[in-house]
Amino acid sequence: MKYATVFASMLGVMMLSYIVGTHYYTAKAHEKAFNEVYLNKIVDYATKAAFQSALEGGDLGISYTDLENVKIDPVNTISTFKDIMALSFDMSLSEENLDMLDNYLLGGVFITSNGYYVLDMHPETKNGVQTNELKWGLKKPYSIEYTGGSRVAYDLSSEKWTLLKPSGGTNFMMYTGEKHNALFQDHGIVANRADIMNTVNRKITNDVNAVMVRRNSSFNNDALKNYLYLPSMEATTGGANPVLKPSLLIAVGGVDFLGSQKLSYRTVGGYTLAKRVRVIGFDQGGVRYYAFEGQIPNDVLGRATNFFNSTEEAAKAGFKPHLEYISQAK
Amino acid sequence: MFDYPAKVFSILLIFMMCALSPFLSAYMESEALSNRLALNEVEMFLDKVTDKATITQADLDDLYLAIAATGGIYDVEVKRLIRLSTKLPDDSVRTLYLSQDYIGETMKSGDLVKVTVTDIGLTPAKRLKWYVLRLDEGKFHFSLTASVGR
Repeated sequence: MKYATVFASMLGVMMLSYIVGTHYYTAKAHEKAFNEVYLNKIVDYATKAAFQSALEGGDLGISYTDLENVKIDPVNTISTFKDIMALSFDMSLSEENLDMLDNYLLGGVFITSNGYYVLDMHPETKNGVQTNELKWGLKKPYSIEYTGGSRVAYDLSSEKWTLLKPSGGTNFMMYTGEKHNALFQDHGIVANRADIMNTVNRKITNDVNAVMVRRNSSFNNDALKNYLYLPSMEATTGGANPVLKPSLLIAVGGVDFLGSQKLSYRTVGGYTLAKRVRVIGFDQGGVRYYAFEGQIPNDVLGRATNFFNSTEEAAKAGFKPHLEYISQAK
Repeated sequence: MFDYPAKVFSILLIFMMCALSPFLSAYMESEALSNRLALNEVEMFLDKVTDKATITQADLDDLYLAIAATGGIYDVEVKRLIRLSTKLPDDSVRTLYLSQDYIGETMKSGDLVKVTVTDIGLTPAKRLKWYVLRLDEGKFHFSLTASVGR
């Protein structure tokens, strides 16, 4: 009889420890699930801010209607990215904190229409001390090497090309052109869009992975052991991830200062440029109306007087919605 | 007679296993849900406000109402940070953020909006943990920052 009691008590203690263990792991799981989503959103916002800071050079009033002329200057992207991350985590924006965040930026690539930058550690002298700083490398072109040693660098948003043809010894002749046809007619090189895209994707993936592998050997971060994989153009019949417009991709992972557990979760923030549709105010029959760009016929467009960023702004300035234009599908 | 401690102990054990634990699990789950909902609401607010580049009282009221509707009691603080760049003596440029008023103003591109949400209520899970275990895991809080874009 006594043994039964002892047995029952031990069983009770075991069950209690199971329940306590379950409670502990439930609490951890809730926290981890929240933190993963939270990190995801932070990296999203940080990448967006970083991308916007790259576009800030140049007169965007004109270039939004012509994506080719957008000026991209990626100098401030990484510092803006780290600022947003630090502010979201309620960390102070001190040098030490921002340098510490370098450890969690696994890789990044900034894609523009005629080249790409890869994020890497570069030696830098700060206050006389030789340290490594996370910066964009040199811009690399989208070049394909053809038989005979010719290399052609392509621009992805238009059909511009630059050809370097070896001409005896170590000399090269340089040719440029505006259309792929000219390349074929003058130099016999066929520029295949699918080939170019494949090469571009392959180069970018290889470069980013090479950087990540090299950085992995310099410090102990488990997340770097796996590569960042960008699926190539051939993933679907329609093509996945075609690089057509300026884009920014940054991968963050292995975060261990958020919450009580290390997140081996990796998240990638990516942004690309899209044409923004503005609200245009115009005068018709003495009344001031507004409608979206692309809905207004060209003859009326010539009389446009104001440009707004949103319908609220237009309404505040006293313009009325033009119901006939605005209800058209774009 | 000498059996009392064992009997009391086993009753306590039964109570904790069969009554408290399920309660605690259920309360923790609802607390986690309201935290997650609060995060979603803050994200929607930031998306709206950074696209418009203005923060009106109506936006703030919407945010406060949505966060109150999650079921928890949260304190929400919305800040606008403007970016200042200064040149240091060693010719490097240092960028700082300064908190400024935002009601009735149009924010410039590059300004940041920071929302901090702190849990100031006593959720049932916290209360239970405190009364039974004297365990206090601190306030739940998070911040989210977004930059105003074009």
